Amino acid sequence: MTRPGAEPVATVLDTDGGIDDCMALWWGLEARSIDVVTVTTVFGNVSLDQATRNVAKVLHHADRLDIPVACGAAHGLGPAPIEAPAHHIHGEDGLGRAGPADVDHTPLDITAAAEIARLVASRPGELTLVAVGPLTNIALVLRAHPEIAQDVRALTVMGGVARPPGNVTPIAEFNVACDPTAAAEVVAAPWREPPLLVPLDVTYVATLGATELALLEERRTPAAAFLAAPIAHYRARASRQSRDGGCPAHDLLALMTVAHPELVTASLLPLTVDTGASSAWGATVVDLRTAIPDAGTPRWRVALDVDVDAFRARARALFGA
Amino acid sequence: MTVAIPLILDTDGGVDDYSALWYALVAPDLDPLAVTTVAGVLSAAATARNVAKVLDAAGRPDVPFAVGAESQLGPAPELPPATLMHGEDGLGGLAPPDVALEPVGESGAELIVRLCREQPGEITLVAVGPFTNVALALRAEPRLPELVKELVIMGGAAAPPGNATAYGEFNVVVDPVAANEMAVAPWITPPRMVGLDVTLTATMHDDEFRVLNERRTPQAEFMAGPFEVYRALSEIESEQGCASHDTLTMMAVANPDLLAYEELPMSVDTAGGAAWGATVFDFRARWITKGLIPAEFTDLARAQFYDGKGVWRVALGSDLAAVRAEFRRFYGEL
Repeated sequence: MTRPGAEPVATVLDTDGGIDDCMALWWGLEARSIDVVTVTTVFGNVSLDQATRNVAKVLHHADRLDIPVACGAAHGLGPAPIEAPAHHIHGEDGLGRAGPADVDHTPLDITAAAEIARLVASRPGELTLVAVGPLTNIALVLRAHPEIAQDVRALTVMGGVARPPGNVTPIAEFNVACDPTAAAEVVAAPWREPPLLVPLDVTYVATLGATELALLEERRTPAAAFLAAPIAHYRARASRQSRDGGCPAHDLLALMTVAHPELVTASLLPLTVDTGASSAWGATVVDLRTAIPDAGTPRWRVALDVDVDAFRARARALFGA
Repeated sequence: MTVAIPLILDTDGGVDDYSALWYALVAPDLDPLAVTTVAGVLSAAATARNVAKVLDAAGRPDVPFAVGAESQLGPAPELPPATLMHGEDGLGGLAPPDVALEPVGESGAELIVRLCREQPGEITLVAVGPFTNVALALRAEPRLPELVKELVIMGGAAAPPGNATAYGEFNVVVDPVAANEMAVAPWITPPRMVGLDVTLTATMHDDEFRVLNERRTPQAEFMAGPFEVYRALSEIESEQGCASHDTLTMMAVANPDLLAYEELPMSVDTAGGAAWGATVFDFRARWITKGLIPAEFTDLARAQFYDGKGVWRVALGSDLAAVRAEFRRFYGEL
């Protein structure tokens, strides 16, 4: 799955425990190009507690209970235009009411934010943060330890949208809309390298197509066996916005880009998050103007195009192709 | 022979505003009843002085014009002055000397309300500046949405980018509160929005400037100089030619088929965040028309997508060849 001899990317995955989150985690556990150091959880698709339980289920079924889990924020840092959880998309259990039974995996006795800060301090310049839920935990780390913005190797975020529509308001994406205050703080932080935003612009394009979904149904791998029923639930509810009606796998694409940045074409663009409580609340405002006044706005790498075939090939590998 | 469309032009004094006024004055199928001015590119008073020059040069001193709002109805983002693009005089530094025509005593909003009451259901209101006068007219006459025949605006951007800010178009961003009051008013006929989605693509290019610079008509004689100045700056915004936003809008009043529209719910962000002044369209409303919402959820979805918003016909496509032919015809192509 990766270049021979390449070092796996040491990654902390911050997740809100929904169906595409579990796809991403499974892929991260299976991919030789990724070393999942720790998983941190946050409210979002489901409650914090349910997200933590879902992560434990994946780790158990992947036989990777050696990976620690730290629980993070149960609520956002500020007001929001929408209310989490997203039970109508992910089911009450976050696995389409089709997840396996709970397993025994006690989370660390330390918050997600504290654990991220501790890990980054212990391995400065080495860890990649991948946030695929609301950005509350990352903002909490920044509030307590602003220096992590300089000490992480990279940050990749699944969230936002450069070109509307959003998926939870006319203009906002779920993860950002759950906690615009946190997202604004994370976007504005002085990151050492411009972080990568993986927005709906690419996640509704790089979807699971008929071939991937048929392969998934064969349940050839533990990942496919675990994910088949949840994804069947998810695709019926989450595909409305997809190009060609495929099943989105937002968080899976985001995690893949960490090991395989060539999957997306990203542009360095000014980015801010709208925190005003009006029509555009929770929008990731990406400045696409060709003649942009330099207002000192932080620039992120915003993924605007994606190699769908390459994404799907990697998804098929997870499902046993 | 068709009857000319009676209209009121509400304008803020940029180069393309005067071109739009010229278009309304010379097009046989348009009948400009009045012009109202609003602070935007220039002050409302300075705009009115330029409007007088156009009316004078066009031999139409009979058209009444009124000075409208000089200050906005609510807070707005700080912007660089639009005179950077339009010149200190709104005409690229080439404005002719003042003329003797005087505005009427009524305010812009008062004139709009009076004419619409006198001719209910007859008048097309064409607003190509900030929407302060329109909002003031709505406050003064809540029945305005049923008194006008149609509202057509130049402003906004259904899809980013904007021009004044990342998501905001100038006319909207200058007075977001006014724009939103207009956006969500209960217009009987869904208003038409001619925004950056079409004005930055349905542009004037070399052939149109060639005709303009031949100065064969009074409008070309008046506009050629200012447009040369404006063109150089405008083309920074669009690689596809020189945007003549307001002229395109006026053309679409005369000939709606130049543009392709979609009916969608819209409101304007007024909150002071990063997207302040964005015209937020809910493209998710397409899911209903495309049958992607299960029948049992249609009412819920409709409420979610439409409540608190106005329904607009937003221009998302244009017939570029026809638009450019019309620019050339307007400026005097033989």
